[in-house]
Amino acid sequence: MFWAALFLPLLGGLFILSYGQRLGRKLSVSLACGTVGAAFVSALLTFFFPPSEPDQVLFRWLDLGAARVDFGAWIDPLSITMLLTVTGVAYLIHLYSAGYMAEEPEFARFFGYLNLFVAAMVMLVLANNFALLLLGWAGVGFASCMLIGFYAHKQSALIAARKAFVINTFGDLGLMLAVFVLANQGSVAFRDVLQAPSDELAIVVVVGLLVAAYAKSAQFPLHTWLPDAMEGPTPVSALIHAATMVTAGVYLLARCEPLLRLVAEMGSLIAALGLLSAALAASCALAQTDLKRVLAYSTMSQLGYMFMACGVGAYGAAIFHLVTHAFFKALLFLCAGSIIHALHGEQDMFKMGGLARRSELAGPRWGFLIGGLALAGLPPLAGYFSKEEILTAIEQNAMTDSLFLGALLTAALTAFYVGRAYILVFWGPAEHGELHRPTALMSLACWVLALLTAGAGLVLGFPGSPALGAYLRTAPIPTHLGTGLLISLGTAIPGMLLAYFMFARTRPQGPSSAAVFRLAEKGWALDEVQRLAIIAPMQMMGRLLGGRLEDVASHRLPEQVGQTAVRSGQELGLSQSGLLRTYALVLLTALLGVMTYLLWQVRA
Amino acid sequence: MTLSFILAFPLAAALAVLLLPAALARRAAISVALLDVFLVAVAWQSQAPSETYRWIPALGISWSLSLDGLSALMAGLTALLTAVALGASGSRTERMSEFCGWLLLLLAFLQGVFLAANLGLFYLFWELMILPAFLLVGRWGGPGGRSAAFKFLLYTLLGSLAMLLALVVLAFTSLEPDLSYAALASRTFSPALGVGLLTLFVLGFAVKIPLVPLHGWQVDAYEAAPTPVVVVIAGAMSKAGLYGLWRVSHTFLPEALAELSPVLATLALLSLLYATICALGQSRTRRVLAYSSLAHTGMMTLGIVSLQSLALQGAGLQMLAHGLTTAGLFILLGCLEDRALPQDMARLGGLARPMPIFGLALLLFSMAALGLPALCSFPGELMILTGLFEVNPGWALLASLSLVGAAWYLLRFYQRIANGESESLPALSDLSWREQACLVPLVVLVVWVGLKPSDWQAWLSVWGGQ
Repeated sequence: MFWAALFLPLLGGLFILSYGQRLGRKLSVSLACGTVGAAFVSALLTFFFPPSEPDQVLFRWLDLGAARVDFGAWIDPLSITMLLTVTGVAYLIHLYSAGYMAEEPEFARFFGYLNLFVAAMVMLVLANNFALLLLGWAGVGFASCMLIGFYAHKQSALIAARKAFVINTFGDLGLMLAVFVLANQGSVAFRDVLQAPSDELAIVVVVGLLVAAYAKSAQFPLHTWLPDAMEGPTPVSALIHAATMVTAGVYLLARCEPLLRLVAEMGSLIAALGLLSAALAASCALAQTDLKRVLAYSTMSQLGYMFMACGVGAYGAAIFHLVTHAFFKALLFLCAGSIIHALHGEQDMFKMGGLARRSELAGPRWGFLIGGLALAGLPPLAGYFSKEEILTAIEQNAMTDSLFLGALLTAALTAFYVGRAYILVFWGPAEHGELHRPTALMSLACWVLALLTAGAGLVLGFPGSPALGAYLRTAPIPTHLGTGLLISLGTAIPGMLLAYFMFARTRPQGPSSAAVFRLAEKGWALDEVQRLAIIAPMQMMGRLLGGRLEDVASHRLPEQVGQTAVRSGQELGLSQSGLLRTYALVLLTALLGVMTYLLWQVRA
Repeated sequence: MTLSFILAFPLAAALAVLLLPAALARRAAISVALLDVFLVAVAWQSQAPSETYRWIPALGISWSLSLDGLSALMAGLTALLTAVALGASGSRTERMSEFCGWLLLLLAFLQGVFLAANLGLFYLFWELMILPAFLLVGRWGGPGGRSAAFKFLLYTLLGSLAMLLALVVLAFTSLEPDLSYAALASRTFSPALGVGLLTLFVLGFAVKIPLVPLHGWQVDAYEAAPTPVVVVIAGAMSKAGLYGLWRVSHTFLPEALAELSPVLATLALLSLLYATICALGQSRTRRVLAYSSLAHTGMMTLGIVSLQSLALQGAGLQMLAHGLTTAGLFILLGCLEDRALPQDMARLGGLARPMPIFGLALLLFSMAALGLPALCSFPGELMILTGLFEVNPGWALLASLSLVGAAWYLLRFYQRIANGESESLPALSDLSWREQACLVPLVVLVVWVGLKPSDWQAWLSVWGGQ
């Protein structure tokens, strides 16, 4: 039945892409939502009636030498958790999109790719081996690229799409590297690799997996595509670039826990890089002017927390935060989408302001508040419990205290930029004309996500009885409610207070012009570095080799040689009639002549 | 049913269509090519026995044909591409009957190359196929056709000379010359002679594949040739070079190949990376595809010379996949040229809007060509690289970098054509039924090979090389 979660969205997506425009808006959208809804139901059924055996093979897909690659699923608590999260959030966002994209003329293309994305993501979490995982892995990259570039008349969207695709393809190479090694060792199946991992070359496999995970989850230094990916429609940002696809890297590490345990020395590196990404992104988030880019950097930052958790061995905490983050970040994005929708596409926070007084936007406002407080880590919202678990795990397991301190500081920064965004958007003077009211479907999706954001933490991970941890069978992390509360309030409250004093008392008219802020807004110019160090030289080489050198080496030079040959032929008295037919005839005669000559030679 | 039919049939038909009027000639030629696909399938299914007739015993040349998985795959692909190419050829082609005749002749000679079980016979067909290819590019190619054709001839003759020399040496180093593959396989060559022979053969094949630096004819020919011709040349004829390299090196010069493998692999790798970089700097549609092809053939050559059975098998699968994607992409570009659109990508854009089916097809084939999983190129590439990794991890990693380049230039290719703002273009009609019909078999195969590569691997494992 879990196969329905893959094939229904897949077939639905292909059908809508091919015939959706002729089918009409209503039918296409219903089909898109229906198939994804059915996928969620099948995920629920899989949860309640899991197969007795995790390895479920459908057919033989490919032979990589001795390694046989099956088209099959691996159904265990981890993949079921992912499946539920992915299909559930995807269903809600599909519903939201039905309202958000109600006036989009190219609805078929949008919903077709959105469905294909869900199918690829399901493939990613279900795959029972690394080669098939690659299929989902590259598939989500493709769908993401198509949706980032959805507004195909915008050059910036196309460039963003290309950037995402190229960086993600580079990440795919990491996964391919893992496949190379594992296939040559005899098997790429989870059954073999994860249940009896081999020490040999494990470090190479892990490095490959990390490259793949960093590209997909937008971690330093492969993160530069994520902020630009906000060029896509907002529901896409919510689903792909916040809730599901970008978390695939965390899923990959959690899935490969047995392999990672073999190279324990990598743990510190993963944790340190996680902190770097988290802090870097948080520092960028607090300088953005575009609401969606704040959320994009925030996503990168929260993913950094998940990687930190993986680095210190707390995979359960990482997955817990993955789930709660999917809820509250999707909520934040959808509310942001409703606001942007209401303001006819305005994304600059400094041009918003005063929206708290508009009754049309009461829903998005409360939703944004709940999501924002969850992101800041305030109890009893979902983000509090999962972030708490990660912080506790870091405190207990990390080699150095600096990691813990860094994580705390980043938590304070998080509270600061959330507070800043909320104040800039909702407080202050208002001067807006007529606003688009969010449609019923949009509000419905937001309310369900708000409910999940409010309640999921209590249900899934109350300290002492972490239901999700027990389900995933991860080692429990002994948390203490009192200190946890202290840590959380101690970081979040100062951050938010600072935002209050900086932005609420006297509202700035525009972003700070200090150089350091401008640099942070530009992502510390890492984009520029990447462009100058890699892209520009490649383009230059392309023009140099593909233009100049080719022109000389394979055009002018051979032509010169040819002309010289012809000229010397003319001087020898041979005629150049210019008729192709003659040349052909001469060629054929010469050929036959040579063969006859040889024949005669041998006979003689 | 004998194997000779597979090539005798299009050969005879080539003469017959000359007598038919244009419209009928095209339809007849398509049927002939399709029937040829069928003949190959039947021969493969019924395991048609090899056949040998005495011909020139003094030189060791006999008319002997045989069919194994690889040759069946290539022969089937060639016939299919010819049919598709003929279908896609616009009705505005001049002297249609003659055109169809030459194209069928090219098909017949290519089938000869793939089916021959005697090196002398192979060489005969190898030389013969130059003639129709030369004429098709020269006479039906646009303004640059003539010079492109001559350049093609110049390069090809260079390669042919090297091969002829090798053949002469082969014939004269044995008391009773026998050029059949079986006899050659049982011969042992001194290391120096083996290496020398292989070098000569590689020179001959490298022109046709092509490999850098012997690729000078390719871009011009791909740019000038009419769509059907470029489909067959890029899709099938370049495979003849790879096929020859595979046959010769693995059948009777394995020791020499072992000796030369590092050198050849390095050359192929350089060719691959060079072409990838060149493709990044192109601004004309056909040139992007030409360099993309050059890069991909480099990858296949790597698989063939790597001495690793998985990489070799992957190269075989990739030969099929590359034939399909190249044909699809060139046919789609042909559709644009039929609508009088330029080749300059800066002047194209936004075509997915007026032509949604075209847009989807272009996306599918571009993605297949850049190796998106679930489409046809991915399994072959994964096999080649996995096999290569075992031989030399450095090569595998360098070669896989070309995939990032391919993602870059092929996505850019797609976006420049299908997305973006469109310049004021004439009213464009989407793909016609005829154009769609040509693409359907390719689309089916692209998806089939990608989703169920094991079906196709079975064909290649039949080959007795391992």
